[in-house]
Amino acid sequence: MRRALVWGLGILAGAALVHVAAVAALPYGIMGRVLAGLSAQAGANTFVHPPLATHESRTVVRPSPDLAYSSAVFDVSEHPLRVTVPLSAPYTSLSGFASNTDNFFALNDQTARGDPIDVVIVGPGTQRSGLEGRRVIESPSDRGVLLVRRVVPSAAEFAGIDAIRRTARAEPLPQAAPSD
Amino acid sequence: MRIVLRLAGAAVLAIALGLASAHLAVRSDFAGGEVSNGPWRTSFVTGSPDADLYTRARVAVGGLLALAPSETVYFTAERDAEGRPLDVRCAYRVEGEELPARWWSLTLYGADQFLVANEAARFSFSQTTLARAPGGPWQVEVSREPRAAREVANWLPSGRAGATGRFSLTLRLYNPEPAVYQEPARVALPRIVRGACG
Repeated sequence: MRRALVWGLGILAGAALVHVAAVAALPYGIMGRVLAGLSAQAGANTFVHPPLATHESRTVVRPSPDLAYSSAVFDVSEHPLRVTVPLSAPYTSLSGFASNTDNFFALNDQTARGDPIDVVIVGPGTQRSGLEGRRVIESPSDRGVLLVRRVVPSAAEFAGIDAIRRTARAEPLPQAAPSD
Repeated sequence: MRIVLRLAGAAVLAIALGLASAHLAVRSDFAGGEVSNGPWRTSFVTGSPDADLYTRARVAVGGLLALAPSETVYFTAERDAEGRPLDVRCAYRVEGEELPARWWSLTLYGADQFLVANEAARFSFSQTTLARAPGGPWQVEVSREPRAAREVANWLPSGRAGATGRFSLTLRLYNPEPAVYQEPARVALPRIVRGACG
C-alpha cells in the first residue's frame, strides 16, 4: 500500500514537471517556427511584404485580412538595427516581439513623432554610445520579429499602400557590441 | 530488470499525464487576465511582459504577434448570445453599433484558428467596408450561404456549402477609446443571434 503511494506520488511529481516544462516551452517553440519561416523567406533584418491574408495564409494564427503586413526577423546580437517605416493612412503601427512572444514595443502613426517611424533596436544590455538623439528601444532578446500593420480601408487602396510599405527598411548600424 | 521496467512505465505515464494536462490547460477556457462581455472575451495581458505562463502559451497558440491592449483590443466570441457554440451549420445575425475606436473590424476564423475558405473569398467586414448608413447601426449575416438577396451585401461566409464544425469571431478595435480598456465589460458590443440550423 505504502509502496503504491510512493509510486503514485512520484508519477504525479514527474507529470507536474513535464506539465510546467511543456507550457513554458510552447511559446519559444512556436515563435522559433515563425522565426525560421520568416528567415527562410528573406534572412534577418529584411522586411517581407506578404499579400493580404486569405484562407491560404498559414504562418501566423488569426491573421487580419484587412491589414497589409510587413514583417522581418530582427537580429541585434552583433549590431543595433535602425528601422524606418513610412506611414500610410488611416493606421500604421510598428511593433516588436521577443523570442518568448512578448510584445516589447508598439508605435503607431499617432505616437511616431513624425513620418517615417524611425527607431533603433538594440539587444539586451547593449551600450548606447553613438546612438544619442535617436529613439532607442531595447529588446529583451537578440532575435525576434518586427511587424508593421497597415489598415487597408478598401481593396482599391491596396496598391498605393503596398507601394508605401515596400520602402520600409531595417539596416544594422556600425556600433559597439553588447556589453558584458 | 523488473524495477527498470516499472521505472520506464512510470516515466511514460508521467510524461503522458504532463503533456495531456498541459494541452488541456492551454486549450481550456481558463486564462488569467480575461474579461467577458456577453459572449465576447478579451485578455488584457495579451502580448504583455506581465503575462503568466499559461496566458503566454495560449497567446502563442491562438494569438501570436497580438498587440498589447494599449494599441489594440481583441474581443473574440466562440458562442452566441445564448451561450451556444458557434456552429457552421447554423446562420447567425450579428447586430452592432459604431464601436469606440479609431478603426475596427469583424473577422471570422475556423476551428483551426485560420481564415475560412469560401466561394466569395470574404473573411471580414470593417468600419469602412460594411454596407450601412454612415456611422449607423449595422448587421452582418453569418452563414455557409446567404439566406436572402437583401442580406448578401453584409454576408460573412462561415464556410463552403456543406461545411461543418465550429467557428469564432474576432472584433479588433485599433486605438480604442479609454473606456474600452478601463471598463471592457461595459462596452456595447455586437449581439450574436442564432437563426436556423441546417
